[in-house]
Amino acid sequence: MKNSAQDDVRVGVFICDCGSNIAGYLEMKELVEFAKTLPNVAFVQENLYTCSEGGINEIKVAIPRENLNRVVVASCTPRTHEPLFMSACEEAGLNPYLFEMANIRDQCSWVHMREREAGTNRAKVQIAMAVAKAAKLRELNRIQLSLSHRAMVIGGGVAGMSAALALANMGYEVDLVEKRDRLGGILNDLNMILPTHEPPDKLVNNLVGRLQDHPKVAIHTGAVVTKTEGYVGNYVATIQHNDTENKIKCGAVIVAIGAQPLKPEGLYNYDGNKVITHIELESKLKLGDVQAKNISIIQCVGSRSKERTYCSRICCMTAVKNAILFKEASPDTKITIFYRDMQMYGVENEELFRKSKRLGVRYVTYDPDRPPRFDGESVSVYHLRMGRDMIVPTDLLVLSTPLVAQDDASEISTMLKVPINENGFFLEGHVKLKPLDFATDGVYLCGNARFPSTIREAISQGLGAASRAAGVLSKEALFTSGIVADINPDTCCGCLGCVAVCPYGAINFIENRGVCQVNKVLCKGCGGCAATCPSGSARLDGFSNQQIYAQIEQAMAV
Amino acid sequence: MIEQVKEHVKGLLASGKIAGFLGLRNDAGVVTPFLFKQEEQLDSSFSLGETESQGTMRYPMAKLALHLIQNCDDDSTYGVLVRGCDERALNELKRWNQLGNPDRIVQVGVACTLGLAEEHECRKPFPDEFVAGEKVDPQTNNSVQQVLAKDLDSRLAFWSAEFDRCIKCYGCRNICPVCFCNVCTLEEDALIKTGNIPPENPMFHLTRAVHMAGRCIDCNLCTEACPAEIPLRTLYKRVAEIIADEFSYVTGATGEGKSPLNILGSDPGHTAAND
Amino acid sequence: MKKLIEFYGIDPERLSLKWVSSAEGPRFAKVITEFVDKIREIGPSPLRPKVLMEAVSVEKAS
Repeated sequence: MKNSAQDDVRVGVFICDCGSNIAGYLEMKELVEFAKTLPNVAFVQENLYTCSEGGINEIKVAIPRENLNRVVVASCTPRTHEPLFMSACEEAGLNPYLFEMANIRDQCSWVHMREREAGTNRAKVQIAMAVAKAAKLRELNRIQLSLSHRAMVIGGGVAGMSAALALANMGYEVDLVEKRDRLGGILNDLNMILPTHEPPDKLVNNLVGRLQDHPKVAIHTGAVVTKTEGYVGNYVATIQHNDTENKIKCGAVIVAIGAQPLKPEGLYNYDGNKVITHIELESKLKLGDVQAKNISIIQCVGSRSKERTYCSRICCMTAVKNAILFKEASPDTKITIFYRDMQMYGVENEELFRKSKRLGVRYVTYDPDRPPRFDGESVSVYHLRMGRDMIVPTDLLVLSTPLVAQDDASEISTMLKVPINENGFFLEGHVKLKPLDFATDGVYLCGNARFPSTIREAISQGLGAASRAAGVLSKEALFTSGIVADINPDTCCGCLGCVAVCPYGAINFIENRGVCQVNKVLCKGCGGCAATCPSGSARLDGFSNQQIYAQIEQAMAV
Repeated sequence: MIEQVKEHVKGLLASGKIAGFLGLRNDAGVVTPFLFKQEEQLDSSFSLGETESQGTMRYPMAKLALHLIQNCDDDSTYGVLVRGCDERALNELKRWNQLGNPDRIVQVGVACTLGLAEEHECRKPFPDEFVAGEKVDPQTNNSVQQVLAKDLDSRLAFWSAEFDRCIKCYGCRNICPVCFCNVCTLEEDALIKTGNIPPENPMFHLTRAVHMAGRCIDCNLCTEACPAEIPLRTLYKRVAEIIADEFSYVTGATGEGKSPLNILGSDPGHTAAND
Repeated sequence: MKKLIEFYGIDPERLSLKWVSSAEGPRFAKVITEFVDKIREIGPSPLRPKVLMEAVSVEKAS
């Protein structure tokens, strides 16, 4: 390993053609010549593809041959390629944090495709910035941690059960915590699952049976998680069951607490008897307790409104399903569905919708500004196409109310330090790139806790979350990133600004010393604390003020 | 009135409530801060900062109290002589989590004279509780409005001319009762280049102004201390006003609140910055 | 910051702070283009040494 603290900084710059992605739009020869003129640059090479085996090899060969102690790659996005280049440096004996990247593809050749000269000039600036920063880089070290290979799943509905079973089948011990007295969640209240035409009990019993028989699974029903401490790989959770408290260690946590149907108090004379929610209808159907002959179903009751702007996703399918069940059992039953938009996504659902129409279910669209009214005998609604009121005699009114967040969602959010959105649903790390992860490592998400989903979606999400969690649990050791914040205890004044700003709860105030301290395992290297600290005591390794100022200077100079 | 203060302090010392009293003493005509530990010391040299009249010699008592609390070896309680401005500074230091256990400071309040209040155009020339002096009317300082009355170009010319006189003595920072950092951004080479007098305009003064956000309690010590007579108070007073407008945060107020840095951290919905 | 630089005598329009997520490429381009256009319209910074020297000498003379 080279001593990088030495004064003679030798930067190697590798400039990637990316085939024609970069070379097709920028003057590569000019960039190479320019890079050679920069201070501390000892070696410059152009590669056809720096990320190819050949390109990587050239980095590995050049480091010892040219005695390089910093490496800059000017190519594409660090999001996808930085780890690759960093490990190339590491394999060549150079600390991987002595590496810097300039994204001259996404930020130059792609956005300035038709401006060859301007794009080239900009690439020069970015290379100069990267080299200036590289010269000031210091070796950083990752911290190695041991971890617990056990998982905890909070919520024993179909999503949580699927996740727990998948993890157990992969060989990990699982604690499944359910606050109710039995597993199954909202499925216990449902009547029939389409398109399989099976009672949900069959699915629930199957899962419960397999979980109960599984030697790796510990089921805690009637229990709640009251406290979690620690971080990825090393959580300690307190599970409360009646008056006893249990502490368990786990490496990953899956949040599967589900959602609950909205009780539409005050809407359409809701009474739970003649006017019921669609989930209550399911429970009644299960008991065979429905005799009505004229059934009206109103969609979007309490959702897609000012108060709750979201669409609950599952209510259209539920309404169509139940309408079909009624019609099949008794074709004389008159069923009218009042809707705003029918969301029957996918081929199967579309087919169900058509089937219901064939069976004679009536669909009447309504304007949210003129919603249907119910007087106890009939539903009247302004018919948009006829331009007048339409009256439908009704002896059972079903309200399709949305699923809303569990009452304890915000409590669990605070406990695990993971975010919820304005409606109380848990917020994933990234809607497309990290849909089942939280921004916090080691905590994962599935099912209705995330957003109303169908049973199949809940199961796939459960399996997905299990797979994400297993990504952590399967490791023999965890390494934190070297890019973490550090607070100098000699200069910190303990003003607590950083504590408030840290989104990961990674900073603690050490009372007896009057200073703040970073937990490097929890820190994600966002730099919020470094930007906030009035005395400059908090700094982000790998993004020090000096390194950033050096970059700014180059940006302004060239 | 000095006798009233003396008697009060003597009582505190005698009862053992305080281990010492941070006040001022007149040593052969020179008024300096002093930690009185014995009653006799009070008799021989205690002062309320008078050269011409009471309080003319002002010191940042809150800052000195902070240093005393931080640097003494035990966790004794100390009495501190406070005026209205000192009290505001102590309140602010407390909100920035600097005083540790605030019960370690026993305030001995003194109301300022009308003359002093007028001289410094003080917004509250008396602490909430005081043992001597009389409440005089708060005064207003209109320097911010005077600058705001100018157009942009005149403001720039005005401030540039003022800042050009700066000799970079750091007096404004050193006297400031709410400048508590152990290391100072103004001394960071990479941000404020060394070897320039006047310091880089406007980096030096605007950097300090930003750090006064949510801190400046408008005591006027900076302007008083500045050898180049730069109206620094006007600048920091404006910063305090901005923070009050944006975050409803009033510097120097009593209460359990925390510094404005906590306002940003605890409310992700705040969008003032998104403009 | 806008109010502070305005108090100092700099057009607050010269400062812009916007949150743009890494997923909002088009918005980023729009924000930057608009800001660059705005700055072009406002003209050179009064803090550029030459401009500033002139202003100060006028103030000192007055």
